[in-house]
Amino acid sequence: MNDSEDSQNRFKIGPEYRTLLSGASFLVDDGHIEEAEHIYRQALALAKLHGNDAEQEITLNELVKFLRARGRAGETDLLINQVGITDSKAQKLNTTESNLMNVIVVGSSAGGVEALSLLLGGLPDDLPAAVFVVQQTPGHSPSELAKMLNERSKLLVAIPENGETFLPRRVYLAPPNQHLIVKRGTVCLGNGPKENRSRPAIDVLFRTAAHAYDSHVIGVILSGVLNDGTAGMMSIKTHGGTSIVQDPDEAVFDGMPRSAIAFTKVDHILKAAEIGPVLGSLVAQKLQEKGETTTMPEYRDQADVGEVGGPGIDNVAPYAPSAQTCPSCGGAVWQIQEQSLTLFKCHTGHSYTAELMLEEQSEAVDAAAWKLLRSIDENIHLRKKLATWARTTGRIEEAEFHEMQAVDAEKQSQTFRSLILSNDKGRD
Amino acid sequence: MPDEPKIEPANNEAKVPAKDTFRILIVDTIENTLQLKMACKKAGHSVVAAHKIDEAIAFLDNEDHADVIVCAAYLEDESMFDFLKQVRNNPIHKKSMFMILSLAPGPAGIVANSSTKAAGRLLGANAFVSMPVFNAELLIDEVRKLLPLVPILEQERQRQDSDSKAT
Repeated sequence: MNDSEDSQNRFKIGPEYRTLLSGASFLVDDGHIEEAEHIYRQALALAKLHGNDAEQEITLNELVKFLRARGRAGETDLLINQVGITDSKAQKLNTTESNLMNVIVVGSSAGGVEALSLLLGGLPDDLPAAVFVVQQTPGHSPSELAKMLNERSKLLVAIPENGETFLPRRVYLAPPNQHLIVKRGTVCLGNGPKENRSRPAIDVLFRTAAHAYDSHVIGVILSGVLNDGTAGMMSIKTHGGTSIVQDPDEAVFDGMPRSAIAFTKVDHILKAAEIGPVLGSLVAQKLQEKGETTTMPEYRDQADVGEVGGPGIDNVAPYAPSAQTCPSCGGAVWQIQEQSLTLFKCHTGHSYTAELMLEEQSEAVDAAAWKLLRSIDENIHLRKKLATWARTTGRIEEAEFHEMQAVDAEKQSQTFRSLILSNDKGRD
Repeated sequence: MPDEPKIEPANNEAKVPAKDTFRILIVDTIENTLQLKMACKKAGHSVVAAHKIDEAIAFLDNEDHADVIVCAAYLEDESMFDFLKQVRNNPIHKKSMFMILSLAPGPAGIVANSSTKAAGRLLGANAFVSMPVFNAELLIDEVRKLLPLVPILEQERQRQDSDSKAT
C-alpha cells in the first residue's frame, strides 16, 4: 500500500513541477517578477524533494536564466548548494557518468583573477567536464570572486559543499581556508595542513584530481609567484593527464608558469583568452579517445602522501630525513625528490618547495632576532627598576651593580639593533 | 488536429431546472474524467471531457462554450498554465470560470500546491482545489461554489439563441 502510494506520489509530482516552471515564465511575461522568482525557487525545492536530478538540472537552469536576465548572475552561486542529490542518485552518477567525466583543475595565485575570468569566459557552455578552481590569493572576498566569475562565465560558478556530487558544466571554486579535494564523483573540502603556506593549495587540488581521474585530468596554471602548482602538475603528468600553462609573458606574475615549464613537460602554453576554447576541444578529444577512465593506479608518486598531505609519523620510512624542522608546526621534515623538484614535507603534512622553505626560514631568523632584542630591552628596563628600588631603600652597592649591568645591556641592544636594521636594509 | 471532444448531456433523471444546469469542461486523466463526468451528469450538468489541452482548445476554438473549466495541474507533458493563459487571452472564453485541480500529496505536495495556487491566482484562475486523493463528489461541491459567479448561463445563452432565431 505504502509503496504504491509512494510511486503514485512520485508520478504526480513530476508533471506538476514542470507545470510550475511554465507558470513562472508566464508570470515573468505578465511582469510579476518577484512572484515568478518565488515560484522558480519553489519549483527547485520541489525538484529536490522529488529526487530527480534531471528535473533539478532543468529547474536550476531556468532559475539561473531568470537571474542572469535580471543582472543577478552573482546570486547563482548560492543556488548550487540548494540542490541536493540523493545518495542513490549520487552512487549511480559515481558508477556511470563520473567514470566518463573529464576533470579540469585550475590553479591561480597572485595576479591570476583576471586570467581566471578570461579563461572561464572562454569555456563552451556545453562543456562535458567539471572545472575546479583554486585561487590562492583571492584579493576579493570569496563571495565577491564567485559573483564576479559568474558574471563572466557561461557556466555556473559556485563554492561546493563538502562531499557534494559534482556535475559537468559547473565550476567549483575553493572556499577560503579550505583545501579543494577531488574524489571519484565527489568534491570534498578539507582542513588539511597548508602546502606552500596556502590553504586552499593548488598542489592538493591537482594531486587529488590526478589520483581520482588519471589521464582524464587537465591541469591549468595561471599567474602567480614562486612555484605553487608545479608539484601538483607533476602528479597530473605522471598519471597521464594534460597540462596547460598561461604564457609567462602574459601572466602578471610569471613565477608559477615558469616553474611549471621548467620542471614538467607542459603540453600547451597559451594566452588566458585562448585556454577556454582549447579546453573545450581537448575535452571533446579525450571523450572520443577513451570511453572509460582507467582504474585507480596501484603506485603512488613520491610527492603524493595522501590527500591531507602528511605521511603520518609512522609512515615516513620511504623518505629522506632533511635536518630541517617545519616552520609551521616544528615537526620533523623529510625531503622528497619528485623528479627534479625537491619538496620538504613534515610528518603532519605541511609541504614546502625549497624556495618557500628558505623564505619561511628567513622569516624565522628575522622573528628570532627581534625576539632577542625584545628580551634585552626588557632586561634593561627591569634592571633600571631594581636599581631605583635599591637606592630608595639605601642599598647603594646593589643599585650600582644593576646600573652597570643595564649600561652593558644597552650597548648590546644598540649593537643588535643596528645589525638587524642593516640586515633589513640589505634584504629590501 | 486533435479530436474534438463531444458534449455529453446531463442524466435525464437529474431533474434539475434548466437555469441551474451548466456546461463543464474537464481536462484531466482518463481515469479521473470518467468519475467526474458521471458525478457532473448526475448533478445535472452537461460535460465535455478532454485528456489533452489540445483537445480542450480544439473544443473552445470551435466557439463552443463552457461555463466552468476544470483543469488538472498534473498532466504529463501539458502545461495547465499555458491553457489558462490561452483561455484568459481569448475574447470569447475569457469570462469562463477556471478551476485548477491539484492532487500532489505529501511534503512535495504542499510546496507544489501553494506555488500552483499563487501562480494560478496571478494568472487569472478563479479557484484552486487540492486533495490528496481524487474525489469526484468533493470536486463537484467545489464546482458548485463557482456556479453563482458564472456570468452567462448556458441555458440563457441557448434561450437567447432561440429567441434570436425566432425573431
